[in-house]
Amino acid sequence: MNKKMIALFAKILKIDPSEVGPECNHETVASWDSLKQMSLVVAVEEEFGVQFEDDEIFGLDSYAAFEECVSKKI
Amino acid sequence: MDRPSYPDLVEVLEATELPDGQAYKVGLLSNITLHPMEDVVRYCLSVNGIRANVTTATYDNIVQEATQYNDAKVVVVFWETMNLIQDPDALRFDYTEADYLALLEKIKVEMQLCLEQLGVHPLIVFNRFSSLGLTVDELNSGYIDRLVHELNEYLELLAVEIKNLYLVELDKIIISFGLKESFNWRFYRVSKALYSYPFLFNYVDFLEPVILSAFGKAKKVLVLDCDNTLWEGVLGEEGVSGIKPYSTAQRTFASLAKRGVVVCLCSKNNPEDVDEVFTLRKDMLLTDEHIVLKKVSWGDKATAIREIAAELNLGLDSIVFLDDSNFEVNLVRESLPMVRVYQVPHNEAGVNMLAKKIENVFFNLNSTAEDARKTAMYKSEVKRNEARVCHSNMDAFLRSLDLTVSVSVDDTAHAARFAQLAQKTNQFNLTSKRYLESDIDSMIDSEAYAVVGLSVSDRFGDSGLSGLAIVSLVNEEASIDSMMLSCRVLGRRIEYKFFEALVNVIEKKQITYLKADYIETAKNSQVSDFWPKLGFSQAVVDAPGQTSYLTDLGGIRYPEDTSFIKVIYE
Repeated sequence: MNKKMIALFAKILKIDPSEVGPECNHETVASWDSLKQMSLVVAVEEEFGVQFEDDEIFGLDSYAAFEECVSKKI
Repeated sequence: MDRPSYPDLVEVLEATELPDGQAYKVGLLSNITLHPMEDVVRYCLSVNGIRANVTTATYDNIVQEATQYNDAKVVVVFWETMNLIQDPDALRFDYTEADYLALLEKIKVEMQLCLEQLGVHPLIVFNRFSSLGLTVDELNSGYIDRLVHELNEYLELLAVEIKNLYLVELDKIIISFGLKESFNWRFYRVSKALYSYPFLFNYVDFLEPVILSAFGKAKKVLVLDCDNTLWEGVLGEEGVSGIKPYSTAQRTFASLAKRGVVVCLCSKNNPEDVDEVFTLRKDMLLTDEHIVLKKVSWGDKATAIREIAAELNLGLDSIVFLDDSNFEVNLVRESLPMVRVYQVPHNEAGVNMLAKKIENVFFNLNSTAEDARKTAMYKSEVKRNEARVCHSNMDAFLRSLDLTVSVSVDDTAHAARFAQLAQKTNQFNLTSKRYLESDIDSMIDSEAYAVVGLSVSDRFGDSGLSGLAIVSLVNEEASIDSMMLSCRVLGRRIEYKFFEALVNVIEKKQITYLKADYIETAKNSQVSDFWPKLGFSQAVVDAPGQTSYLTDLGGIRYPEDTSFIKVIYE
């Protein structure tokens, strides 16, 4: 899962895969705005075949949060 | 279009990142979060070979930002009922009649303002209002349904006046895709993103022919296989009486031919067998009069399609090809990727559905009287080519045609056809500026422009309005803003006669200098030396691919004899 998720984040946020990791969140990555946030949600849902709940979406503001949430679902 | 997953779509877009330079401007205006519509539109345009900068205006700033998009090529407006007021439930529970009427009036004024700001240039793709997401499960029809109904009536009214306004049947698209799949209520709650990614893809796919038409990329030619495409059965095995015509599909193809689509056959059969079907089977709804070219042989279909394009003088990307065979479909897809290929299903219901789809593919923003006669015109073009083979001497052949051109100046009756020429002419087009009917209308009205039209006829038939030139006039200098000729009249030196007529028109306006541009596109290289051939000298290269030329009226010379063409001034 990790490799796929890192590649996805790099693609959507247009950053180098090496920059994707535990430190990566909406404050540390300049391109991570509210629209990119929705792109990440759509892309992760499609890639991993999962669906987030409303309340979960609000909390998905970091790479770590995505990773944790997806791992609970697959 | 096949829908890629969203991550794949992003990847494709990344790989085809727009190079710098001229790209069309496309705008999205919306009162909801229209994510990820921008990516989907960019994807749709790029698979069709159109370079475009697609941008989304600020959320819920439709009226305020409309003016920034009046120079765009296409503007899509998502004005959602859901978010017309902060709390749509208030319409259900709290609104009085007076509140309702005030709201209706306010939105009407905003709509009118928005459309005024967008102006006459862009094609405005505007969704009709829909209440499906709000009231589909309600027994009572209340203010929300009434609001949607009255706003749509108002839109109809506006569309009568505003020629560049295209109204989208949003309800149809939502229903055909499915209510549950269309809306994404989770995202709407979180971020006002109402529509799902698959829905937005479906929406753009459905409207693709409308959008392509605005970019002058409408499809023009329908190439049909015969066995198991026009009829059920294999002619060579079952014989003329054994096959069963697909009547609904044939009826669709015949109606497309009547509307100006060039219908051709491409079949592996004995030519005389296929001819026999058209003569003997009276239940064929597609008949010889609808068909411009028949390529019936045992040769490969990619070659046949290439020949069709060459004989009609049209680009491969204007061709749509239908065949039931896996082999042929794949062969053409692989060897001619610019041709749009559809595989015909092996049951009549499926064939009927495909025929409907094909009808949409040939959607055209501007339909004119010319379209109805196109089949006859292309047929006489094919006859002319045959005659050309008989005449070894080109001059003698051209003389034998009895060519007549007739020239009109600022004739408003031709505006719709002019706009169509401006949008669809690719090869003989010096600047390829894609004007809409509303643009043409305002130039015809203006003293600063002369809009000159050219109709062509010869002894084989009438080619109709085939040429357009737009000249801007400032003091003693005239500048040729646009000049184009439909490819069906090329190869007859009409272009030089047209220019001569143009000079005649200009001379009457006290002009001494004449300016002209050549703007290079992927398709117009045949006119790259048109101005120098007429005696113009190169002034400047304005930008890569764009060259300006200048001459005084005395310096014009004609490279070839055109005295055999008769000119009539209307």
